[in-house]
Amino acid sequence: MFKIPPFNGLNTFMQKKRGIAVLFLILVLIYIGFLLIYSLQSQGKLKGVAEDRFYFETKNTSTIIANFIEEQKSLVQSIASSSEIENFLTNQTLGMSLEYGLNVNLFAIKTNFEKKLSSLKWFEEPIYRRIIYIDENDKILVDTKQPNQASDFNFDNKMPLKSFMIDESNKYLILQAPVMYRGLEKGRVVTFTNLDLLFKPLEVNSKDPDLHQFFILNANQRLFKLGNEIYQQKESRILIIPNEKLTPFKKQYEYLLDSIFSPDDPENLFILKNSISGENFKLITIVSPDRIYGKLSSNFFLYIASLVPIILITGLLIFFKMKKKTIELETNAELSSQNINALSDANNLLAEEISRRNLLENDLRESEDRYRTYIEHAPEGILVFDKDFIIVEVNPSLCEILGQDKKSLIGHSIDHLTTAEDKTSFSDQFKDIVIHQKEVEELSFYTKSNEKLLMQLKTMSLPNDLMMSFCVDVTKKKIDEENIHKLAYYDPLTNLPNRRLLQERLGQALFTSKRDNEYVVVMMLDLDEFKTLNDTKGHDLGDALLVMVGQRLSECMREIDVVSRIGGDEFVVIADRLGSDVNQALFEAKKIANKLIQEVSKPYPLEKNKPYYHMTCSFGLTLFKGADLSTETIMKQADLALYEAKNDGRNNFKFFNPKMQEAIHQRVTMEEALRSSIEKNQLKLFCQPVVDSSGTLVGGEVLLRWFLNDDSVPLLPNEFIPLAENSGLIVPIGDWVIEQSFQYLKKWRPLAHSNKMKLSINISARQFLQTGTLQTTFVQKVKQWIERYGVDPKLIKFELTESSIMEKLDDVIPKMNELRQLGIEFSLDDFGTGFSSLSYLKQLPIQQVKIDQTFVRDINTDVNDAAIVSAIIAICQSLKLEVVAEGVENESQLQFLSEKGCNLYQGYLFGRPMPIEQFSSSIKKRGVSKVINPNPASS
Amino acid sequence: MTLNTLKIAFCSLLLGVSSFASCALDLPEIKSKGEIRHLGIPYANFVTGAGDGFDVELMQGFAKHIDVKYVLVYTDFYSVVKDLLGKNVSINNGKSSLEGNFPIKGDVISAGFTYLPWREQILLFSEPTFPSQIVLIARADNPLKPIVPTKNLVNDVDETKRLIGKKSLLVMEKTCLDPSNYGLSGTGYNIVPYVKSSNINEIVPALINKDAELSLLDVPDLLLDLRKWAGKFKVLGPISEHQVLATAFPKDAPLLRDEFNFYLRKIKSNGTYDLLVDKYYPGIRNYFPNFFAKN
Repeated sequence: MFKIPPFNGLNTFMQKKRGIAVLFLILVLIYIGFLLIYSLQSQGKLKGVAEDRFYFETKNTSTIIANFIEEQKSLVQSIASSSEIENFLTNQTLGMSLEYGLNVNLFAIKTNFEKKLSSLKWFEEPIYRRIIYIDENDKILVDTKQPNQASDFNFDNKMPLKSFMIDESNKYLILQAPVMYRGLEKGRVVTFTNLDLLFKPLEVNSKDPDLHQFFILNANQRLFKLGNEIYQQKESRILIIPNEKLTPFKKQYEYLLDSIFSPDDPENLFILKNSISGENFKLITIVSPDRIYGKLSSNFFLYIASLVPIILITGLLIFFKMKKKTIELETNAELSSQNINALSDANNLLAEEISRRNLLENDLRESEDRYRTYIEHAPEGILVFDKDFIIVEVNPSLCEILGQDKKSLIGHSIDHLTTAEDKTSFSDQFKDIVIHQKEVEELSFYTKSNEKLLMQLKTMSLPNDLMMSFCVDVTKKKIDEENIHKLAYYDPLTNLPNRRLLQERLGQALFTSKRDNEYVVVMMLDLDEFKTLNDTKGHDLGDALLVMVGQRLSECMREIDVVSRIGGDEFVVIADRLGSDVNQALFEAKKIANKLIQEVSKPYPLEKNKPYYHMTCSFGLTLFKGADLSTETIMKQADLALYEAKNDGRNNFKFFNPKMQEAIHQRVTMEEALRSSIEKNQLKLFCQPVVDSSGTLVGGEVLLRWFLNDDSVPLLPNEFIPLAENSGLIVPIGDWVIEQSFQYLKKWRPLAHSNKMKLSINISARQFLQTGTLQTTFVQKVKQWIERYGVDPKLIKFELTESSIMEKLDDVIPKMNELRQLGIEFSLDDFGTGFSSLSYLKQLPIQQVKIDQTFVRDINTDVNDAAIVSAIIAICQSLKLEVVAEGVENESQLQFLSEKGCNLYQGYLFGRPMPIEQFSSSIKKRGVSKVINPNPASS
Repeated sequence: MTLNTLKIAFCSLLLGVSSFASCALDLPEIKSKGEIRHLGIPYANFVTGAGDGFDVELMQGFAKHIDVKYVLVYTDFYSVVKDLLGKNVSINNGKSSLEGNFPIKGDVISAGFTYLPWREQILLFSEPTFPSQIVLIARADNPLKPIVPTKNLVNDVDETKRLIGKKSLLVMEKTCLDPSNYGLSGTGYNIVPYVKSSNINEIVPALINKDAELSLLDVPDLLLDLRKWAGKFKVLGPISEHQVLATAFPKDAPLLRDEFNFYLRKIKSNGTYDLLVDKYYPGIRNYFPNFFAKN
């Protein structure tokens, strides 16, 4: 219960301080007296200010109008002195007529006037209605009057030029200015301004009922506006009031208000006069005092206002008395209501607490339901177990993954999660993950169907010493990852590391070699003639062989070594840790290489019930120790060594040495030089004579010389033709030789006996068998050249070496036959050095056989050579083939050959190879006659 | 002359005409080419030289009308016919003849081009595009007094010609200021051809520069020069009767000329023509009220 003290403070205060209150009241009355006096003085000053403001306002209006009129005066003056009018007057003075010239000037003046009409504005309205130009005889020269404009204006030429005139009927303010030319007045310009513009500055106040403004013109005319109409009224009375001074309105001024307005109390008004343009134009303002002074209070109002504080104090005393009684009543009522409120508050608090608990309970229930639903439907397996690893709860997903039902798991140890035999290991791993709080771990499970699963396990703590694990089956993901890795790093055919993995391993080998200072050998293997197997037996067998080779190589090598297939039939083997002694390492490397060659060379059972296939291989080896080489360089070195091994007869191995690099470089340089030799004109044709038994020139063999670096000593064919063969350049070079030769045959055509001169051209097998489009085959090209140069095919003889064509007789013979049909003859070159098979001689459509000079050279000293030559000649005679003996250098050789029946010869005895131009000139000089050795000293 | 000779002459004439005709382009060829080349001569406000002018806008409108690209080719009064026809023109006793072979540079002449009889012999003219007249002018200090106009233009012309007497007269041959057009050539007149340039705009400055005592001037130029050179020269009187200016085409482009006439009538009726006149020659209506009243 609250205890409230009795409320009697104010009463006591009032009784004790009554004297002070009376004193306060007296002070208030004195203060009010001073305030009253001060207010009366201020009101007087305010009236003065209001009058000043009003004077300024009217003065401002009259100034605006005065300025406008002055501006009009100067405008008309400027128009009168415009250049257009001056031009007109100049031309007029020159005597030009209106018809021929002046009319142009008048138009220019009119254009100027019209521009003024449209451009000059005041209060956004056009100033001028019309402008005219009158000559000194009052003849209008230019007038902007529109057809619909009032035209009955009679201007007053007596009007003072510096003044203005008002045309009340047409509502014009008329101004004019003289046109002066060379000191003489040559007419006037008259402007007609819209009279309404004069009233524009007054429009601001036109709606004010307490203010009326109009103009007095010439002291006796009123000019005012009512609505939209302007009126001008003459008055006989003259207004006499002081200028710019507010004057109380008098009875005698009432005529001024006539027609404008009718005030209720005219004597309460004021009148004010402002001059605008001298004494002839004035602005009159009639105004009520309220308009000037506004709502200033009267003296009576001030007196009444002074009584207000006394009334207020009295009222306040009464109010306090009443208030005292009210407070006593309110105190009692409040005491009882406070008790009720306390009870009500306690009740509300209790209700809120009950409601809050209900809400919490609901939230808890909903949350539990939500999580249960999630666990029941979660795709991952969820498992709850206690601190003894006894399973408390599992969700359906886990049961499904493990293939077990819920009952078989709940209440059992976690080792029931797997069906593996070694449950202890599983249990230990599981506990290890939980105890060491490993974030995410992978663990192998076995399902009821004994399928091995790899599960990703994530475990977390729950209240009440419980743990929860999430299990995700990542078995497929792992398998996919392994497959991707395998595809990226292993050769799918042999399952050996591919080039990418090899690069990595080689990098590692380089690193360890450098770190441990031990030798490493890289061996690049290439199967010899593997392409033949693929071409003849098919790719399936080729692949099978590659697999076997891979297996054999792997079996030969150590676990730590790398055997890889880097493409096609190329394998690379890396063997490291060969020790730090170079001789020892070399010995080891050779041992491995020999072992591998031996292993690869073992026969391959490729096809059932068929003979085993034999395959050899070549190895390129590079040995290094801690060298700062890139993997690319090492591979290149091994490749170079392999190339050398291949060139060295295959089925062997070669170690890389820097000279190989140099040799390759030289070969590449040479090849590049050969490639551009035709363009640089470095290749020259030489020709060696062929004679018959009577010594008569019957033809020549075209030979090629390469003048590299402009040396006087050319390179012979055996120095560059092998390179051309290997690089494929033999085709363009061979083509060039044939074309050049045909051109010489064409040149020789006019010469006597040239139809008996046969030119033998050496043809490479590669050139002869070149493939391509129909137009680019050898036969086709030869046909085109024959046609182009008009060569007789019977004078052409193509020489083919037996060794180059024997392997491809099936391709060669049809082409030879095709060319034979044209008339071209074939000669088998270097006969005796190759197979020299009689069956070939019979099979080939040849007409000539050339005995190689190696047999002819020792024909007189070597019995075997003599026998071979005799045999060849005999065979050819029996087959009716011509025989040419090459390399005939002396008379005894000639005699032997002649005796044996050979009747065509080629050799130094008859002529060394000479530039073909020289050969040509010798034909021209001698015709086809007996050849004398052209260079006996050299033979 | 035998009949055969006549036939040969006729055939030769036909061949000559056809070979000449093969060079000029008529409406279909211009449409297929997609462009019309306007031969313009910088002169008064017809072709200002700054890429605009009365005739430039007139021809731009025509190009738009026939939906082709407009190309302005500048030339001068001496070369303009050669540039249109590919032939040089020579005038002998009022007879025009064409000779030589030159490249054709344009398809139409529109440049304040006066309709003159010798031009009519070799060109096709459109309906009049503009009025003109030639007047006689003198420097302001010349003692000669302008004629007092009568109401008869023929009398005024005679009166003006009498003022010339033996005084030197500045002219520009092959243009509208060619004295032969107005019977002022031959003996009796002291003709001073202006050859420093082919630009008529330079005639008044040349007169003021005392190149001659008198000069001929066309009214379109007069309108501009009276403002530009006010008080420096005076108009003595008319030398010609009223002339018309028109757009000229090759003789073998009648379809192009007809289409232009159609276009001209269209812009005269829709007010476009009047806007062009007022833009480039304000005041010309006062000078030739009759010409523009018809429009």
